[in-house]
Amino acid sequence: MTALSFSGVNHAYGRNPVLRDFTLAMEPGAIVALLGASGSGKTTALRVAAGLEVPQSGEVHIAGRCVSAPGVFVAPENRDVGLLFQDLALFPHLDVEDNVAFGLKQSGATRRTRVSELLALVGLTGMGRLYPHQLSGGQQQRVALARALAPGPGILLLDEPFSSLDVVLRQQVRSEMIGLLKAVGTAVLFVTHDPEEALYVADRVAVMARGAIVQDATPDAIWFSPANRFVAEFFGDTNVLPATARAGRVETPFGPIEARTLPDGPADLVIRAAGLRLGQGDGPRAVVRSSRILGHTAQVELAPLAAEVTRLVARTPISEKPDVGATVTLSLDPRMTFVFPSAG
Amino acid sequence: MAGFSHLSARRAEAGSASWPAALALLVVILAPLVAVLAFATADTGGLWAHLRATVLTAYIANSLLLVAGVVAASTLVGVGLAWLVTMHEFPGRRLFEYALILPLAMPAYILAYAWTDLLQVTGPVQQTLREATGWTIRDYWFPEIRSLGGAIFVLSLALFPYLYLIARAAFGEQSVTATEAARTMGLTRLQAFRRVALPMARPALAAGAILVGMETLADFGAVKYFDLEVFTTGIYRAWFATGNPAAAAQLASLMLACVLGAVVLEQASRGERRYAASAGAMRRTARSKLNGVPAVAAGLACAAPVLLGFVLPAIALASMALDARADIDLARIETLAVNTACLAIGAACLLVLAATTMSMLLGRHAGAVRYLARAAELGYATPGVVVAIGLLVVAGTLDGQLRNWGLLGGAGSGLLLSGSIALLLYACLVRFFAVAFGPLDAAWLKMGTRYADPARTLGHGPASILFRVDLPLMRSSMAAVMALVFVEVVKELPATMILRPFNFDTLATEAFQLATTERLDLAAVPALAIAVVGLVPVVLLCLGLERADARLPRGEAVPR
Repeated sequence: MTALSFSGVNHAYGRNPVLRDFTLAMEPGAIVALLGASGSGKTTALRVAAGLEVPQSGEVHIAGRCVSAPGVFVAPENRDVGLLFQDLALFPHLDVEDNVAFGLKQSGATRRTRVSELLALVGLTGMGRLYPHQLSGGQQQRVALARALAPGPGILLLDEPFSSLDVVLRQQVRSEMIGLLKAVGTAVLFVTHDPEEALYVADRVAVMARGAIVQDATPDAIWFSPANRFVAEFFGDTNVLPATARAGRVETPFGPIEARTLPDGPADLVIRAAGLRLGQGDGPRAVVRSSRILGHTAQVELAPLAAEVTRLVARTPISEKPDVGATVTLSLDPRMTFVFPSAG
Repeated sequence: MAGFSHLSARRAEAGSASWPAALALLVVILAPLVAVLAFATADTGGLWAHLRATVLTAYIANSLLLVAGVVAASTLVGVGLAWLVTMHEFPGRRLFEYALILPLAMPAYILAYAWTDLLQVTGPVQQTLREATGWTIRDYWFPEIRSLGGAIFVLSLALFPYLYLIARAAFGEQSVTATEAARTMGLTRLQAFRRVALPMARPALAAGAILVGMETLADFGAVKYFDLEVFTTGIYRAWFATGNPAAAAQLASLMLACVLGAVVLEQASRGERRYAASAGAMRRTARSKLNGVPAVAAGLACAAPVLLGFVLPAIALASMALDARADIDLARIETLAVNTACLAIGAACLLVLAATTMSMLLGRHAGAVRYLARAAELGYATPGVVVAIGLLVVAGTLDGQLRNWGLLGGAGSGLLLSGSIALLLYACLVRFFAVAFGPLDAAWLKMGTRYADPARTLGHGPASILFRVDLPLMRSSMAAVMALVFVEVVKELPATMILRPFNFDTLATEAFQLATTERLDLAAVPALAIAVVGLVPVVLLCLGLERADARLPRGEAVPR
């Protein structure tokens, strides 16, 4: 049984389609990232799951129950879904306890016990009588999480949950929250536009573009076997070189590459910046144009000495950062080199 | 259809829009205005032709002169002082920045009473003049306050703060950066003001001038007290003196046509700007420092309208009240205060209820249909006299119908609505719907589905959300609106005057009747009470302005 599934969901705002034949299924307890650029329809998918939007067609099932289909619509309050909003939307007129308790059906002592359990879970014991505006950004985040978890939803939807936090706080809150969610065991569908966040947090990453899923796979599979050039390019700097496929092989300046399933004709050779190795010895050579530190790696711009392309980008460990003006030999990491039929 | 798919996409929301109900509410609010227009073609038994031949030209000419005079004077004063206060630094500037709003507390008719007392033959001004010169009453000419000029004077004092507020916001808020840019391009301060700040502010100022014009046209108390023949007094006379409802309605419909034209003009000139911006944040600019004679002149220029429009009238009323204290009937004052408070509280509750209901019926999203509801705000632009006439028509028709159906058999007068408090509350609903709907709908839209969405995913249905989330979150807006409506109702004169039940007087009607029956001294107490209540929103506005200013870094005054 799936925790949540969309099949063939279409949704439009007025004449503007946002979900096109959107199909996705998640297992109980899974953490799935819905990754896409802004406007790709990912937030709408969450709102459809929560019942805040009524799709024009398609079906949505939650825990095996059909909650949305032609002629069927279960109101959001009856869906057993928790949604953590991007802007948190804590009720400003209620204190922390009342915010957390808002979704609880129990009353009296059971209710109080559940609230203190939840506050303990998110590390806010003793802060129940404070109002949202008296809390820091990270604390508000945790209240919102406790509030969403309070009714014990079978699935938790998170809309860009970390985007309102600053960089330092974000990493800390993210690790805490993921640990917490794993411990609770709820299935989580979370929306993000940050590829690194998706790869880091999720068991599975669903890449979305123009209202549909482009690829849905584990973080490793997404990184090492992207389904197409779009997915490959979405995860950071790449080099795209024109090539021609013939009889299951592609000739490249780096030598021939096997591409058994590729039809004959023009093709794109896509090399991740991290897949371009700099070394000495035989092979195509290039001059280092610039070499800059970027986070924990160095980004290197290269001008190949003999090739159709004029500029290549590589990522190297900082320990191997070359000097500007040096001549280096290029080779490929086959696991980060892909060939796709030419797009255009 | 795109519109339909949009609606169905929103069906999931808590409390989705219900156009038919919203439309019904709109019809109720607009009914008196429609009635005025519908009655306009009725037979007047020749009175209309008579009016047209005799007084109509005078009404039109006087109204035009009055509007032109008040608009010109209040623009000059309001815009000029806003320029002084926002662009210059001089002793007392910060005090005047707020004090210039004070005249808003005094309705024009109360200024008219006070100035009549100050300037009449036995008043302090003429007495001082005689004592100083030794003249007798026959030796000199003195301007008559109860004249067109006098009406322009008191109405300008009462209304210039609107233009002052709008201009102050426009100069401070929108054009600071552009003015600074112009100065880096080599323009002097004055050139930058003339070529950048003023043109940028022009649409807002035009809208403000139209607003002042409409308020002038709508005034009843001051012009009636001064016995001027303008539209509002003409309508009043046609209804009560000549007992000709059709003629009154025809005058009223002519006036309504003017109002509609002005509303369209005003909408066109202000575009997307709202007056709410006047209380918004201002970016401080470095002001040019005035010294010596210019500084004193600036201080005097600011002091004059505050003295003339607030301080002197308040002193005049207070001293009249003190002089007449032996004649004051405290029990009567108490009755008046209770009546006024009951009416104002009832109206405030009714309006908050109606406006909140309208917002909810229109759904949680801004959109084309919301503009329809703006039609309900027309009542605010319509003079109270016109609204009252419209309501008398509506009530008369309804009572007639009920009588025909035999439903009023036992009721003494055979009238259910006419002359009842309900009708007076209805008038307040029509007249002040805009006061309540504007801020409440803004608060409602700002909230949108932001809190309703999480509430739904947490298992709450629409009704529970209404009482546990929406209404609690609207509480402070509702309180502010209740205060605003309360003050408006206390100050309201013409509709209350015309529609009040027999033997039901408010502070405003009592003051008016005492003043017109030459008991100005006794009118002072209720008039003072109205002015004190009128101070409430002025103080709130000042606090709002100060809070907005406090958020900004203080700009240093620089030498010229």
